[in-house]
Amino acid sequence: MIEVNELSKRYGSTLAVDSLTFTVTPGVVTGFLGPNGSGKSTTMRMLVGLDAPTAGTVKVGGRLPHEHEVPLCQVGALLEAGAAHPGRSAFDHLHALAVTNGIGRRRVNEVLALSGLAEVAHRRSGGFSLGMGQRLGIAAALLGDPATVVLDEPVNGLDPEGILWIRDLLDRLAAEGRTVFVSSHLMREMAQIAQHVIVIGKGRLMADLPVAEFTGALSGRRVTVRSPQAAALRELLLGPDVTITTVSRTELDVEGLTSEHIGDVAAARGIPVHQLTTSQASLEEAFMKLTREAVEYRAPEFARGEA
Amino acid sequence: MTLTVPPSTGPPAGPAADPAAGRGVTLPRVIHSEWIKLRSVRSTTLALALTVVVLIGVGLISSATMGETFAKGADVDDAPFTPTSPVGATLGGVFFAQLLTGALGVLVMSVEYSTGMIRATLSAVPTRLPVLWAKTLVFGGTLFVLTLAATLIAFFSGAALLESHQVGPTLSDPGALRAVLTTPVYLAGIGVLGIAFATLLRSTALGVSVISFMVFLLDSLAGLLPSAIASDVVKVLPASAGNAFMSAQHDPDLLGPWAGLAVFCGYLALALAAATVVLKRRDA
Repeated sequence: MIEVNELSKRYGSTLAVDSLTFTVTPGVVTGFLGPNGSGKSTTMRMLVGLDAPTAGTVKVGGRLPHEHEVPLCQVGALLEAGAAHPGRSAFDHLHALAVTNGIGRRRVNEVLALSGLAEVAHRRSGGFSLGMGQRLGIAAALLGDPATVVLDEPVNGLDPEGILWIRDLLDRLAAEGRTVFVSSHLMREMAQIAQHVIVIGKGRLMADLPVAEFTGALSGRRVTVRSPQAAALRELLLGPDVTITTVSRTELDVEGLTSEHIGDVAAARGIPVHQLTTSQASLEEAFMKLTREAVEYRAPEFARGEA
Repeated sequence: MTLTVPPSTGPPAGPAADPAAGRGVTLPRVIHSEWIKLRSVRSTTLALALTVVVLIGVGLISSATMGETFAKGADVDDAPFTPTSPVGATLGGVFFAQLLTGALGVLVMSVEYSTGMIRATLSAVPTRLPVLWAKTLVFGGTLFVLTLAATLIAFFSGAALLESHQVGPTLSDPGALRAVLTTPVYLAGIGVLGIAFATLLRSTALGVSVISFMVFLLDSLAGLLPSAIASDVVKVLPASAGNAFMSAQHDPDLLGPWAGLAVFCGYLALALAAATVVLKRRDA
Protein backbone atom coordinates (compact mmCIF):
# COMPACT_ATOMS: atom_id res chain seq x y z
CA MET A 1 0.00 0.00 0.00
CA ILE A 2 1.34 3.39 -1.03
CA GLU A 3 -0.34 6.50 0.34
CA VAL A 4 0.59 9.81 -1.23
CA ASN A 5 -0.99 12.75 0.52
CA GLU A 6 -0.84 16.37 -0.70
CA LEU A 7 2.68 15.71 -1.90
CA SER A 8 4.65 18.61 -3.36
CA LYS A 9 8.25 19.04 -4.40
CA ARG A 10 9.83 22.30 -5.45
CA TYR A 11 13.25 22.63 -7.09
CA GLY A 12 14.13 26.30 -7.10
CA SER A 13 11.35 27.97 -9.04
CA THR A 14 10.02 24.73 -10.55
CA LEU A 15 7.18 22.92 -8.87
CA ALA A 16 8.00 19.37 -9.98
CA VAL A 17 5.22 17.74 -7.99
CA ASP A 18 2.12 19.72 -7.15
CA SER A 19 -0.21 18.58 -4.33
CA LEU A 20 -0.43 14.97 -5.47
CA THR A 21 -2.82 12.72 -3.59
CA PHE A 22 -3.41 9.11 -4.53
CA THR A 23 -3.32 5.60 -3.12
CA VAL A 24 -1.79 2.54 -4.72
CA THR A 25 -3.44 -0.65 -3.51
CA PRO A 26 -1.97 -4.13 -3.33
CA GLY A 27 -3.03 -6.93 -5.63
CA VAL A 28 -3.01 -5.15 -8.97
CA VAL A 29 -0.30 -3.64 -11.15
CA THR A 30 -0.69 0.12 -11.04
CA GLY A 31 0.81 2.17 -13.83
CA PHE A 32 2.17 5.66 -13.31
CA LEU A 33 1.90 7.60 -16.54
CA GLY A 34 3.11 10.98 -17.56
CA PRO A 35 5.29 12.62 -20.18
CA ASN A 36 8.99 13.00 -19.49
CA GLY A 37 9.46 15.71 -16.90
CA SER A 38 5.98 15.35 -15.43
CA GLY A 39 7.25 14.43 -11.96
CA LYS A 40 7.05 10.63 -12.02
CA SER A 41 10.66 10.00 -11.05
CA THR A 42 10.60 12.74 -8.43
CA THR A 43 7.52 11.16 -6.84
CA MET A 44 9.17 7.75 -6.87
CA ARG A 45 12.36 9.13 -5.33
CA MET A 46 10.29 10.60 -2.52
CA LEU A 47 8.66 7.18 -2.05
CA VAL A 48 11.97 5.69 -0.98
CA GLY A 49 13.21 8.77 0.84
CA LEU A 50 15.87 9.87 -1.62
CA ASP A 51 14.24 13.27 -2.04
CA ALA A 52 12.50 15.04 0.81
CA PRO A 53 9.01 16.40 0.07
CA THR A 54 8.60 20.17 0.15
CA ALA A 55 5.13 19.52 1.55
CA GLY A 56 2.87 16.56 2.18
CA THR A 57 3.72 12.97 2.99
CA VAL A 58 4.28 9.69 1.27
CA LYS A 59 3.89 6.46 3.19
CA VAL A 60 4.60 2.90 2.18
CA GLY A 61 2.95 0.25 4.34
CA GLY A 62 1.86 3.02 6.68
CA ARG A 63 5.36 4.30 7.33
CA LEU A 64 7.52 7.19 6.20
CA PRO A 65 10.61 6.15 4.20
CA HIS A 66 13.16 6.48 7.01
CA GLU A 67 10.93 4.60 9.46
CA HIS A 68 11.32 1.18 7.85
CA GLU A 69 13.23 -1.24 10.04
CA VAL A 70 14.06 -3.48 7.11
CA PRO A 71 13.83 -1.06 4.18
CA LEU A 72 14.51 -3.61 1.43
CA CYS A 73 11.70 -5.86 2.71
CA GLN A 74 9.22 -3.00 2.83
CA VAL A 75 9.86 -1.34 -0.50
CA GLY A 76 12.05 -2.55 -3.34
CA ALA A 77 12.80 0.09 -5.93
CA LEU A 78 14.33 0.37 -9.37
CA LEU A 79 15.00 4.06 -9.86
CA GLU A 80 17.69 4.18 -12.48
CA ALA A 81 18.83 1.61 -14.99
CA GLY A 82 22.40 0.43 -14.66
CA ALA A 83 22.92 2.15 -11.33
CA ALA A 84 25.81 -0.15 -10.54
CA HIS A 85 29.58 0.23 -10.53
CA PRO A 86 30.64 -1.02 -13.98
CA GLY A 87 33.68 -2.71 -12.49
CA ARG A 88 31.72 -4.77 -10.00
CA SER A 89 30.05 -8.11 -10.75
CA ALA A 90 26.28 -8.48 -10.61
CA PHE A 91 26.64 -10.83 -7.65
CA ASP A 92 28.87 -8.48 -5.65
CA HIS A 93 26.60 -5.53 -6.46
CA LEU A 94 23.53 -7.33 -5.15
CA HIS A 95 25.40 -8.89 -2.25
CA ALA A 96 26.65 -5.48 -1.07
CA LEU A 97 23.09 -4.13 -1.11
CA ALA A 98 21.61 -7.23 0.50
CA VAL A 99 23.91 -7.44 3.52
CA THR A 100 22.99 -3.91 4.68
CA ASN A 101 19.55 -5.32 5.56
CA GLY A 102 20.82 -8.65 6.81
CA ILE A 103 19.87 -10.52 3.63
CA GLY A 104 22.18 -13.40 2.73
CA ARG A 105 23.84 -14.91 -0.34
CA ARG A 106 21.05 -17.43 -0.86
CA ARG A 107 18.53 -14.70 -1.64
CA VAL A 108 21.08 -12.96 -3.88
CA ASN A 109 21.37 -16.13 -5.95
CA GLU A 110 17.59 -16.46 -6.01
CA VAL A 111 17.01 -13.00 -7.46
CA LEU A 112 19.83 -13.54 -9.96
CA ALA A 113 18.06 -16.68 -11.17
CA LEU A 114 14.69 -14.95 -11.09
CA SER A 115 15.93 -12.12 -13.30
CA GLY A 116 17.73 -14.40 -15.71
CA LEU A 117 21.20 -13.21 -14.75
CA ALA A 118 22.50 -16.39 -13.07
CA GLU A 119 24.91 -17.15 -15.89
CA VAL A 120 26.47 -13.70 -15.92
CA ALA A 121 26.39 -13.24 -12.14
CA HIS A 122 30.15 -13.05 -11.84
CA ARG A 123 30.79 -10.85 -14.84
CA ARG A 124 31.44 -7.15 -14.47
CA SER A 125 28.17 -5.27 -14.93
CA GLY A 126 29.94 -2.71 -17.14
CA GLY A 127 29.70 -5.21 -19.98
CA PHE A 128 25.95 -5.64 -19.60
CA SER A 129 23.47 -4.57 -22.27
CA LEU A 130 20.82 -2.01 -21.39
CA GLY A 131 18.31 -4.84 -20.93
CA MET A 132 20.62 -6.78 -18.62
CA GLY A 133 21.20 -3.58 -16.64
CA GLN A 134 17.44 -3.30 -16.23
CA ARG A 135 17.23 -6.89 -15.06
CA LEU A 136 19.99 -6.20 -12.54
CA GLY A 137 18.05 -3.21 -11.25
CA ILE A 138 14.90 -5.28 -10.96
CA ALA A 139 16.85 -8.04 -9.18
CA ALA A 140 18.02 -5.41 -6.67
CA ALA A 141 14.43 -4.24 -6.16
CA LEU A 142 13.34 -7.80 -5.33
CA LEU A 143 16.21 -8.56 -2.91
CA GLY A 144 14.16 -8.02 0.22
CA ASP A 145 11.15 -9.91 -1.14
CA PRO A 146 9.32 -6.61 -0.60
CA ALA A 147 5.65 -6.01 0.06
CA THR A 148 5.81 -2.98 -2.27
CA VAL A 149 7.68 -2.88 -5.56
CA VAL A 150 8.38 0.47 -7.23
CA LEU A 151 9.87 0.42 -10.72
CA ASP A 152 10.74 3.58 -12.67
CA GLU A 153 10.58 2.92 -16.42
CA PRO A 154 11.41 -0.79 -16.12
CA VAL A 155 10.52 -1.50 -19.74
CA ASN A 156 13.18 0.86 -21.11
CA GLY A 157 15.82 -1.03 -23.03
CA LEU A 158 14.13 -4.41 -22.79
CA ASP A 159 13.64 -6.51 -25.90
CA PRO A 160 10.20 -8.03 -26.64
CA GLU A 161 11.14 -11.15 -24.69
CA GLY A 162 12.19 -8.97 -21.77
CA ILE A 163 8.92 -7.06 -21.88
CA LEU A 164 7.01 -10.33 -21.79
CA TRP A 165 9.15 -11.44 -18.87
CA ILE A 166 8.51 -8.29 -16.88
CA ARG A 167 4.78 -8.43 -17.59
CA ASP A 168 4.61 -11.96 -16.22
CA LEU A 169 6.79 -11.03 -13.27
CA LEU A 170 4.65 -8.01 -12.35
CA ASP A 171 1.44 -10.03 -12.70
CA ARG A 172 2.85 -12.67 -10.40
CA LEU A 173 4.02 -10.10 -7.83
CA ALA A 174 0.59 -8.47 -7.82
CA ALA A 175 -1.18 -11.83 -7.62
CA GLU A 176 0.89 -12.58 -4.52
CA GLY A 177 -0.76 -9.59 -2.87
CA ARG A 178 2.04 -7.10 -3.27
CA THR A 179 1.71 -3.47 -4.20
CA VAL A 180 3.23 -2.97 -7.65
CA PHE A 181 3.78 0.57 -8.93
CA VAL A 182 5.36 0.99 -12.34
CA SER A 183 6.07 4.20 -14.21
CA SER A 184 6.34 4.69 -17.94
CA HIS A 185 5.93 7.23 -20.65
CA LEU A 186 5.43 4.42 -23.17
CA MET A 187 1.69 3.97 -23.30
CA ARG A 188 1.50 0.81 -25.36
CA GLU A 189 3.64 -1.24 -22.97
CA MET A 190 1.83 0.24 -20.02
CA ALA A 191 -1.54 -0.79 -21.45
CA GLN A 192 -0.25 -4.35 -21.56
CA ILE A 193 1.22 -4.31 -18.09
CA ALA A 194 -1.06 -2.33 -15.80
CA GLN A 195 -4.64 -2.86 -14.68
CA HIS A 196 -4.96 0.49 -12.97
CA VAL A 197 -3.42 3.76 -13.95
CA ILE A 198 -2.46 7.01 -12.30
CA VAL A 199 -1.79 9.80 -14.78
CA ILE A 200 0.11 12.97 -13.98
CA GLY A 201 1.11 15.97 -16.01
CA LYS A 202 3.23 18.90 -14.81
CA GLY A 203 3.28 17.31 -11.36
CA ARG A 204 -0.51 17.31 -11.00
CA LEU A 205 -2.87 14.37 -10.81
CA MET A 206 -4.88 14.06 -14.03
CA ALA A 207 -6.51 10.66 -13.70
CA ASP A 208 -6.69 7.73 -11.30
CA LEU A 209 -8.78 4.87 -12.70
CA PRO A 210 -8.73 1.39 -14.25
CA VAL A 211 -6.91 1.21 -17.57
CA ALA A 212 -10.05 0.08 -19.42
CA GLU A 213 -11.97 3.08 -18.15
CA PHE A 214 -9.08 5.35 -18.94
CA THR A 215 -9.14 4.44 -22.63
CA GLY A 216 -12.92 4.33 -22.71
CA ALA A 217 -13.67 7.59 -20.95
CA LEU A 218 -11.07 9.71 -22.58
CA SER A 219 -10.94 8.44 -26.11
CA GLY A 220 -13.13 10.19 -28.61
CA ARG A 221 -14.03 7.91 -31.46
CA ARG A 222 -12.02 8.78 -34.48
CA VAL A 223 -13.00 8.14 -38.03
CA THR A 224 -10.54 7.86 -40.87
CA VAL A 225 -11.96 8.89 -44.28
CA ARG A 226 -10.27 8.39 -47.65
CA SER A 227 -11.75 10.27 -50.55
CA PRO A 228 -10.42 11.81 -53.78
CA GLN A 229 -12.32 14.96 -52.81
CA ALA A 230 -11.12 15.10 -49.25
CA ALA A 231 -10.83 18.90 -49.21
CA ALA A 232 -14.44 19.38 -50.27
CA LEU A 233 -15.66 16.81 -47.75
CA ARG A 234 -13.71 18.55 -45.04
CA GLU A 235 -15.57 21.81 -45.66
CA LEU A 236 -18.90 19.98 -45.34
CA LEU A 237 -18.00 18.22 -42.12
CA LEU A 238 -16.53 21.17 -40.23
CA GLY A 239 -18.57 22.37 -37.29
CA PRO A 240 -18.51 22.97 -33.56
CA ASP A 241 -16.84 20.18 -31.55
CA VAL A 242 -15.51 18.60 -34.72
CA THR A 243 -11.77 18.22 -35.18
CA ILE A 244 -10.48 17.33 -38.62
CA THR A 245 -6.89 16.51 -39.34
CA THR A 246 -5.83 16.47 -42.98
CA VAL A 247 -3.53 13.47 -43.17
CA SER A 248 -2.91 13.75 -46.89
CA ARG A 249 -4.61 15.09 -50.01
CA THR A 250 -7.01 12.14 -49.91
CA GLU A 251 -7.23 11.28 -46.24
CA LEU A 252 -8.87 12.91 -43.23
CA ASP A 253 -9.03 12.02 -39.55
CA VAL A 254 -12.32 13.16 -38.09
CA GLU A 255 -13.10 13.39 -34.41
CA GLY A 256 -16.52 14.31 -33.06
CA LEU A 257 -18.69 12.74 -35.79
CA THR A 258 -19.92 9.21 -36.33
CA SER A 259 -18.99 7.23 -39.44
CA GLU A 260 -22.72 7.05 -40.31
CA HIS A 261 -23.02 10.84 -40.33
CA ILE A 262 -19.90 11.24 -42.46
CA GLY A 263 -21.09 8.63 -44.95
CA ASP A 264 -24.51 10.24 -45.22
CA VAL A 265 -23.04 13.70 -45.81
CA ALA A 266 -20.73 12.36 -48.52
CA ALA A 267 -23.54 10.42 -50.22
CA ALA A 268 -25.89 13.44 -50.18
CA ARG A 269 -23.32 15.53 -52.04
CA GLY A 270 -22.14 12.74 -54.33
CA ILE A 271 -18.61 12.72 -52.95
CA PRO A 272 -16.98 9.33 -53.50
CA VAL A 273 -15.67 7.67 -50.36
CA HIS A 274 -12.97 4.99 -50.70
CA GLN A 275 -12.57 4.16 -47.06
CA LEU A 276 -14.48 4.88 -43.86
CA THR A 277 -12.90 3.38 -40.74
CA THR A 278 -13.73 3.84 -37.09
CA SER A 279 -10.86 3.38 -34.67
CA GLN A 280 -10.95 3.15 -30.91
CA ALA A 281 -8.34 5.53 -29.58
CA SER A 282 -5.40 3.75 -28.09
CA LEU A 283 -4.21 4.38 -24.57
CA GLU A 284 -1.46 6.41 -26.15
CA GLU A 285 -3.89 8.76 -27.84
CA ALA A 286 -6.09 9.04 -24.77
CA PHE A 287 -3.03 9.86 -22.77
CA MET A 288 -1.83 12.45 -25.25
CA LYS A 289 -5.19 14.11 -25.29
CA LEU A 290 -5.19 14.26 -21.53
CA THR A 291 -1.71 15.63 -21.16
CA ARG A 292 -1.49 17.77 -24.29
CA GLU A 293 -1.73 20.97 -22.33
CA ALA A 294 0.56 19.60 -19.65
CA VAL A 295 3.49 18.85 -21.92
CA GLU A 296 6.13 21.44 -21.42
CA TYR A 297 8.13 20.91 -24.58
CA ARG A 298 5.93 19.66 -27.36
CA ALA A 299 7.31 18.69 -30.72
CA PRO A 300 5.36 20.28 -33.62
CA GLU A 301 4.10 16.91 -34.92
CA PHE A 302 3.46 15.56 -31.45
CA ALA A 303 -0.29 15.08 -31.57
CA ARG A 304 -0.36 12.47 -34.33
CA GLY A 305 -1.13 9.14 -32.70
CA GLU A 306 -1.24 5.85 -34.55
CA ALA A 307 -4.59 4.43 -35.68
CA MET B 1 -1.62 -3.00 5.62
CA THR B 2 0.49 -3.84 8.61
CA LEU B 3 4.24 -3.87 8.52
CA THR B 4 4.96 -7.53 8.12
CA VAL B 5 2.12 -8.87 6.02
CA PRO B 6 3.72 -11.70 4.08
CA PRO B 7 2.60 -12.09 0.48
CA SER B 8 -0.27 -14.56 0.42
CA THR B 9 1.35 -17.15 -1.81
CA GLY B 10 4.95 -16.59 -0.80
CA PRO B 11 7.69 -14.79 -2.69
CA PRO B 12 8.80 -15.85 -6.14
CA ALA B 13 11.35 -18.60 -5.58
CA GLY B 14 11.94 -17.21 -2.13
CA PRO B 15 11.46 -18.30 1.46
CA ALA B 16 7.84 -18.49 2.52
CA ALA B 17 8.59 -17.17 6.00
CA ASP B 18 8.26 -13.54 7.01
CA PRO B 19 11.00 -11.88 4.97
CA ALA B 20 11.71 -9.28 7.64
CA ALA B 21 12.43 -11.75 10.44
CA GLY B 22 15.89 -11.31 11.93
CA ARG B 23 16.71 -8.60 9.45
CA GLY B 24 17.33 -4.90 9.67
CA VAL B 25 19.96 -2.25 9.09
CA THR B 26 22.82 -2.24 11.59
CA LEU B 27 26.21 -0.53 11.41
CA PRO B 28 28.14 -3.83 11.29
CA ARG B 29 25.98 -4.91 8.35
CA VAL B 30 26.62 -1.68 6.49
CA ILE B 31 30.33 -2.08 7.26
CA HIS B 32 30.18 -5.56 5.73
CA SER B 33 28.49 -4.05 2.68
CA GLU B 34 31.19 -1.42 2.26
CA TRP B 35 33.87 -4.08 2.65
CA ILE B 36 32.27 -6.04 -0.20
CA LYS B 37 32.21 -2.88 -2.31
CA LEU B 38 35.85 -2.06 -1.55
CA ARG B 39 37.25 -5.47 -2.40
CA SER B 40 35.04 -6.20 -5.40
CA VAL B 41 36.36 -3.54 -7.78
CA ARG B 42 39.72 -4.39 -9.28
CA SER B 43 40.83 -0.80 -9.89
CA THR B 44 40.43 0.00 -6.18
CA THR B 45 42.47 -3.03 -5.16
CA LEU B 46 45.17 -2.11 -7.68
CA ALA B 47 45.31 1.49 -6.47
CA LEU B 48 45.67 0.28 -2.88
CA ALA B 49 48.52 -2.00 -3.95
CA LEU B 50 50.11 0.90 -5.82
CA THR B 51 49.98 2.99 -2.64
CA VAL B 52 51.94 0.31 -0.82
CA VAL B 53 54.45 0.03 -3.67
CA VAL B 54 54.96 3.80 -3.80
CA LEU B 55 55.37 4.07 -0.06
CA ILE B 56 58.04 1.36 0.03
CA GLY B 57 59.65 2.13 -3.34
CA VAL B 58 60.14 5.87 -2.86
CA GLY B 59 61.40 5.23 0.69
CA LEU B 60 64.00 2.81 -0.65
CA ILE B 61 65.10 5.18 -3.41
CA SER B 62 65.50 8.17 -1.13
CA SER B 63 67.25 6.02 1.49
CA ALA B 64 69.64 4.75 -1.15
CA THR B 65 70.43 8.20 -2.52
CA MET B 66 70.52 10.21 0.69
CA GLY B 67 72.82 7.96 2.70
CA GLU B 68 76.00 9.61 1.48
CA THR B 69 74.69 13.13 2.08
CA PHE B 70 73.67 12.33 5.65
CA ALA B 71 77.00 10.56 6.27
CA LYS B 72 78.92 13.71 5.24
CA GLY B 73 76.75 15.73 7.61
CA ALA B 74 76.26 18.17 4.75
CA ASP B 75 73.38 20.61 4.91
CA VAL B 76 70.53 19.16 2.95
CA ASP B 77 68.59 21.10 0.40
CA ASP B 78 65.40 22.68 1.60
CA ALA B 79 63.57 21.62 -1.55
CA PRO B 80 60.15 20.12 -0.88
CA PHE B 81 60.93 16.60 -2.09
CA THR B 82 64.18 16.26 -0.17
CA PRO B 83 64.13 14.44 3.17
CA THR B 84 65.99 16.24 5.93
CA SER B 85 66.74 13.26 8.15
CA PRO B 86 67.39 9.52 7.82
CA VAL B 87 63.95 8.75 9.25
CA GLY B 88 62.47 11.20 6.77
CA ALA B 89 64.34 9.47 3.97
CA THR B 90 62.87 6.05 4.77
CA LEU B 91 59.37 7.58 4.87
CA GLY B 92 59.91 9.69 1.75
CA GLY B 93 57.05 7.92 -0.02
CA VAL B 94 54.41 9.70 2.08
CA PHE B 95 54.61 12.77 -0.09
CA PHE B 96 53.43 10.81 -3.12
CA ALA B 97 51.29 8.21 -1.35
CA GLN B 98 49.06 10.92 0.13
CA LEU B 99 47.88 11.84 -3.34
CA LEU B 100 46.90 8.22 -3.98
CA THR B 101 45.07 7.75 -0.69
CA GLY B 102 43.34 11.12 -1.05
CA ALA B 103 42.21 10.43 -4.61
CA LEU B 104 41.08 6.91 -3.69
CA GLY B 105 39.09 8.28 -0.77
CA VAL B 106 37.36 10.69 -3.14
CA LEU B 107 36.60 7.84 -5.57
CA VAL B 108 35.19 5.53 -2.90
CA MET B 109 32.36 8.02 -2.44
CA SER B 110 32.17 9.93 -5.74
CA VAL B 111 31.76 6.75 -7.78
CA GLU B 112 28.50 6.14 -5.91
CA TYR B 113 27.24 9.40 -7.36
CA SER B 114 28.73 9.03 -10.85
CA THR B 115 27.28 5.53 -11.32
CA GLY B 116 23.92 6.25 -9.67
CA MET B 117 24.66 3.50 -7.15
CA ILE B 118 24.05 6.03 -4.35
CA ARG B 119 20.28 5.75 -4.98
CA ALA B 120 20.33 2.00 -4.43
CA THR B 121 22.66 2.40 -1.44
CA LEU B 122 20.51 5.03 0.27
CA SER B 123 17.26 3.24 -0.56
CA ALA B 124 18.63 0.24 1.32
CA VAL B 125 19.85 2.45 4.19
CA PRO B 126 17.37 5.37 4.33
CA THR B 127 18.89 6.68 7.56
CA ARG B 128 21.96 7.41 5.40
CA LEU B 129 24.58 8.19 8.05
CA PRO B 130 25.59 4.55 8.61
CA VAL B 131 26.79 4.60 4.98
CA LEU B 132 29.20 7.46 5.69
CA TRP B 133 30.44 5.92 8.92
CA ALA B 134 30.89 2.52 7.30
CA LYS B 135 32.80 3.93 4.35
CA THR B 136 35.01 5.93 6.72
CA LEU B 137 35.72 2.96 8.97
CA VAL B 138 36.24 0.41 6.20
CA PHE B 139 38.35 2.58 3.93
CA GLY B 140 40.20 4.39 6.74
CA GLY B 141 40.84 1.10 8.51
CA THR B 142 42.04 -0.64 5.36
CA LEU B 143 44.34 2.25 4.55
CA PHE B 144 45.72 2.32 8.09
CA VAL B 145 46.53 -1.39 8.12
CA LEU B 146 48.08 -1.40 4.63
CA THR B 147 50.11 1.77 5.06
CA LEU B 148 51.25 0.71 8.53
CA ALA B 149 52.67 -2.47 7.04
CA ALA B 150 54.21 -0.53 4.15
CA THR B 151 55.65 2.11 6.49
CA LEU B 152 57.28 -0.55 8.68
CA ILE B 153 58.75 -2.27 5.64
CA ALA B 154 59.95 1.07 4.22
CA PHE B 155 61.48 2.06 7.55
CA PHE B 156 63.39 -1.14 8.20
CA SER B 157 64.57 -1.73 4.66
CA GLY B 158 65.47 1.96 4.25
CA ALA B 159 67.33 1.84 7.54
CA ALA B 160 69.32 -1.13 6.28
CA LEU B 161 70.32 0.84 3.16
CA LEU B 162 71.27 3.90 5.22
CA GLU B 163 73.26 1.73 7.62
CA SER B 164 75.75 1.09 4.83
CA HIS B 165 76.72 4.73 5.44
CA GLN B 166 76.44 4.25 9.22
CA VAL B 167 73.40 6.57 9.41
CA GLY B 168 70.67 3.92 9.64
CA PRO B 169 67.92 4.97 12.08
CA THR B 170 66.32 2.66 14.63
CA LEU B 171 62.87 2.83 16.22
CA SER B 172 64.49 3.90 19.49
CA ASP B 173 65.86 7.07 17.92
CA PRO B 174 64.09 10.19 19.18
CA GLY B 175 60.80 10.62 17.36
CA ALA B 176 61.34 7.63 15.06
CA LEU B 177 58.62 5.44 16.55
CA ARG B 178 56.16 8.34 16.52
CA ALA B 179 56.94 9.08 12.87
CA VAL B 180 56.47 5.46 11.86
CA LEU B 181 53.17 5.07 13.73
CA THR B 182 51.63 8.40 12.73
CA THR B 183 52.47 8.13 9.03
CA PRO B 184 49.65 5.62 8.46
CA VAL B 185 47.36 7.83 10.56
CA TYR B 186 48.09 10.73 8.23
CA LEU B 187 47.64 8.68 5.04
CA ALA B 188 44.39 7.12 6.26
CA GLY B 189 43.27 10.58 7.44
CA ILE B 190 43.85 12.07 3.99
CA GLY B 191 41.79 9.19 2.54
CA VAL B 192 38.95 9.98 4.94
CA LEU B 193 39.18 13.67 3.99
CA GLY B 194 38.73 12.46 0.40
CA ILE B 195 35.51 10.65 1.38
CA ALA B 196 34.23 13.76 3.15
CA PHE B 197 35.09 16.07 0.23
CA ALA B 198 33.45 13.71 -2.25
CA THR B 199 30.32 13.60 -0.12
CA LEU B 200 30.21 17.38 -0.15
CA LEU B 201 31.09 17.81 -3.84
CA ARG B 202 29.65 14.62 -5.42
CA SER B 203 32.25 14.84 -8.18
CA THR B 204 35.41 12.84 -8.74
CA ALA B 205 37.17 15.60 -10.68
CA LEU B 206 36.32 18.30 -8.14
CA GLY B 207 37.14 16.11 -5.17
CA VAL B 208 40.53 15.02 -6.49
CA SER B 209 41.36 18.61 -7.45
CA VAL B 210 40.48 19.92 -4.02
CA ILE B 211 42.42 17.25 -2.16
CA SER B 212 45.52 17.63 -4.36
CA PHE B 213 45.34 21.38 -3.96
CA MET B 214 45.10 20.96 -0.21
CA VAL B 215 48.11 18.67 0.20
CA PHE B 216 50.38 20.10 -2.50
CA LEU B 217 49.62 23.76 -3.10
CA LEU B 218 47.79 25.26 -0.14
CA ASP B 219 50.95 25.74 1.91
CA SER B 220 52.76 27.53 -0.93
CA LEU B 221 49.74 29.72 -1.51
CA ALA B 222 49.58 30.66 2.18
CA GLY B 223 53.27 31.56 1.92
CA LEU B 224 52.21 34.47 -0.28
CA LEU B 225 50.41 36.10 2.64
CA PRO B 226 52.12 39.03 4.40
CA SER B 227 55.15 37.55 6.15
CA ALA B 228 53.87 38.61 9.57
CA ILE B 229 51.05 36.09 9.44
CA ALA B 230 52.19 33.68 6.72
CA SER B 231 54.15 31.35 8.99
CA ASP B 232 51.35 31.20 11.55
CA VAL B 233 48.81 30.35 8.86
CA VAL B 234 51.01 27.76 7.16
CA LYS B 235 51.57 25.99 10.48
CA VAL B 236 47.92 25.12 10.94
CA LEU B 237 47.23 23.93 7.39
CA PRO B 238 46.52 20.19 7.06
CA ALA B 239 49.72 19.19 5.25
CA SER B 240 51.96 21.17 7.63
CA ALA B 241 50.11 19.80 10.63
CA GLY B 242 50.79 16.34 9.20
CA ASN B 243 54.47 17.12 8.74
CA ALA B 244 54.61 18.30 12.32
CA PHE B 245 53.76 14.87 13.70
CA MET B 246 55.38 12.74 10.99
CA SER B 247 58.83 14.39 11.28
CA ALA B 248 61.13 12.67 13.71
CA GLN B 249 62.96 15.92 14.43
CA HIS B 250 61.09 19.00 15.46
CA ASP B 251 61.07 21.73 12.85
CA PRO B 252 60.73 25.20 14.43
CA ASP B 253 58.58 26.29 11.48
CA LEU B 254 55.99 23.67 12.36
CA LEU B 255 53.69 23.01 15.30
CA GLY B 256 54.79 20.52 17.94
CA PRO B 257 54.00 16.92 16.99
CA TRP B 258 50.99 16.47 19.28
CA ALA B 259 49.61 19.92 18.51
CA GLY B 260 49.97 19.03 14.84
CA LEU B 261 48.10 15.76 15.35
CA ALA B 262 45.34 17.58 17.20
CA VAL B 263 44.98 20.14 14.41
CA PHE B 264 44.92 17.39 11.78
CA CYS B 265 42.23 15.46 13.64
CA GLY B 266 40.33 18.73 13.97
CA TYR B 267 40.21 19.02 10.18
CA LEU B 268 38.98 15.44 9.92
CA ALA B 269 36.24 16.05 12.46
CA LEU B 270 35.19 19.25 10.73
CA ALA B 271 35.09 17.68 7.26
CA LEU B 272 33.15 14.64 8.48
CA ALA B 273 30.71 16.83 10.39
CA ALA B 274 30.03 18.87 7.25
CA ALA B 275 29.64 15.68 5.20
CA THR B 276 27.20 14.31 7.78
CA VAL B 277 24.97 17.35 7.66
CA VAL B 278 24.97 17.52 3.87
CA LEU B 279 24.40 13.79 3.33
CA LYS B 280 21.51 13.79 5.76
CA ARG B 281 19.76 16.82 4.34
CA ARG B 282 20.44 16.83 0.63
CA ASP B 283 18.26 15.09 -1.94
CA ALA B 284 20.16 12.15 -3.35
